[in-house]
Amino acid sequence: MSILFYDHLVNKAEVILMIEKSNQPANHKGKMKQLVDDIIHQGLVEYILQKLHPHQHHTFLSRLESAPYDPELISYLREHASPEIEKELQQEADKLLEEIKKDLAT
Amino acid sequence: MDTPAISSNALNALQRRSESLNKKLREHKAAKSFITRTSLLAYNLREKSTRLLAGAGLTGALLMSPVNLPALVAPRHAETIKTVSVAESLMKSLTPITPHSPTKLEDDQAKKIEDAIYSSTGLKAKSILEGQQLNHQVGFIGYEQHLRRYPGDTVYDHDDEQIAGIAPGLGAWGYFARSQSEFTTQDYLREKWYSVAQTLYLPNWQADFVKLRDWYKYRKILVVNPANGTAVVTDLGDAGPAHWTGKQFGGSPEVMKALNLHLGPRKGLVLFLFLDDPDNQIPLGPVTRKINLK
Repeated sequence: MSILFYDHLVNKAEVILMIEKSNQPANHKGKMKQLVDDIIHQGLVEYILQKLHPHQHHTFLSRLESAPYDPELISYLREHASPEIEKELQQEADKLLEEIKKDLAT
Repeated sequence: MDTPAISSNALNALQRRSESLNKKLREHKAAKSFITRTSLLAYNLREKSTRLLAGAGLTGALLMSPVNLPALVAPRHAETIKTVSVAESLMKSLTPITPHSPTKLEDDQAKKIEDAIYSSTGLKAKSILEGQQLNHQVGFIGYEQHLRRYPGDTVYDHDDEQIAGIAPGLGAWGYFARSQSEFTTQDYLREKWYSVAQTLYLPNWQADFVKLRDWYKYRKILVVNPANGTAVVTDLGDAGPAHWTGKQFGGSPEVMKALNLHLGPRKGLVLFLFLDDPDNQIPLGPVTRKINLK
């Protein structure tokens, strides 16, 4: 089971390893890992809101807030956003991870 | 393995990207109100999720998470144990001595209950404080709606139990803040943890209205559900409910949720006692551990 409902769709291992293995100070590493988490989270939520009708935003966000792990959120999105939502979230997460890698190397 | 090249500007670049995404997210009206209350941050949601899953005993699932969970789980787990301890202690000590119908406590009953609460929580709960006493200390509490905190406040601006809706009128003391720009954390907490008592039925309410209004306004009240031992520090935020409802008290949606009285009939028998807190040391919200007051 995921801690956030989409965790199983996101593979942050490579980016986290890049940060861990870098010679950055420990507090920077921690902050960077948290930012990676935030970027992916905000990026995916924004993507979802774009796909949903604005009338459904409140319902989705309320459900996310009250049970962030709930696999039923994926079912809700399949029904209201796209039947292929898992694949789409995976692709969106990959895009975000690529951008993060660029940021790390900039 | 080679050390991956990470730029010295990486942290700033990530921060800028996070801020830019946050800004984009805020362009969605519904998201803006959630983010204002920070409840949509990944870290907060992970914490909440971890807590809920740990509470459900899904520890195996937690270990499979891609984030650094042990650091998140450990303190929450400890807190859960303490919560259970206070609740168990209150439940064990209060259930044998709490009347199971609405009543004004006799002096000896009140003393036993006050002592039991002090022993479990460290809080000085009082049936009578500074000569004031409500008509009931044991009674039925009902699930209230959110209150408008400032002009223009909507239910979507409240961060929990939006299902409760928002009361069409104002609370007994009016708005909590004169405007959104003057709305403080204290105001936020006061609405979140407000309780309701039948001050309007006090025998001297009409005669001493000004004095009593000032005394009761945001007065701290300890609400305890003796059936499960949950306790919440609340502040008096409204007057009611009416006699005909069969209830003696009310609780904000969050108070009722903390007491585990937010489902089904959304009503239950509770103890409702003043808190002696002249220096304002006791925080509003659920009592999760024994408090040592100076």
